[in-house]
Amino acid sequence: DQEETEAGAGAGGATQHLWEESWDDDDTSDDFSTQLREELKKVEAARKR
Amino acid sequence: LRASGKDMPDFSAFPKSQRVTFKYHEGVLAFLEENYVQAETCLTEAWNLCHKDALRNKERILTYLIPCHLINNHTLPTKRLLEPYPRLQQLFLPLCQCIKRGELHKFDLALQEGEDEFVKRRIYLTLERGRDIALRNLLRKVFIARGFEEAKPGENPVRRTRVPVAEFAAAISLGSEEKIDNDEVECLLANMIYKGHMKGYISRQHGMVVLSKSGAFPGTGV
Repeated sequence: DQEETEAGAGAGGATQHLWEESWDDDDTSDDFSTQLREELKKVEAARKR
Repeated sequence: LRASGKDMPDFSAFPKSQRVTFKYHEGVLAFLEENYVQAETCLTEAWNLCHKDALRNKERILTYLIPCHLINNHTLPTKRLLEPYPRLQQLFLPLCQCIKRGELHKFDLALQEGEDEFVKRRIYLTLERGRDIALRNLLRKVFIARGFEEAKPGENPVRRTRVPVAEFAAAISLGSEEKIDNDEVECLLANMIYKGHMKGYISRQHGMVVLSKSGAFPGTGV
């Protein structure tokens, strides 16, 4: 009596949309990314001195 | 569980509801034995067989399927996948965001924060291995932030593949109060190279990491 399954409901073909890559190149405006860029600049400046 | 001898009816002869349960438990057992590839196969079968409105069951399947995907394919659940499950969102979203951004220190905090729940569901140790992916993404960000070499006319721009260990060190200790010493950083980097998350070598003499020109971070498009 159990007919409407995940696959049966046509979701099988959509499985690809359920998972995404574990990095995000678009996400560069958050605090962490900004902080990271600042920090790297500091390191680079210190090396040049 | 491998009792299915020749005297057993074919697996497909059983009702779907029983097949879901069987595959779920088979998957969880494989998961607990750290056989994540087999676990993913079984849990995916269970997921596909599961009634679309059986949210409670689907939530249980995902609890183990999500860590499997993280370990096997380095992929994370999309927002759409987690939408119907507030509990799973609470459980996984903070970790997922830290992994994506490469926020190593916050990842450690999020893991601590959810420790009791993770241990209860027996996924703590598996999720802990996600730290490698967070670290990979952080190092990848450093690499990308360094930009490109000056391109010769008519040639494609090439990324700057020599990265000072000091830059990786600064990135790794970012957000944390503790300073990490260079030997420890080199150890982390060597591990990343050994595990195939990063392609290149460490030049200790120059305090540099020389990354591969093609596919420095395999499978991530750079």
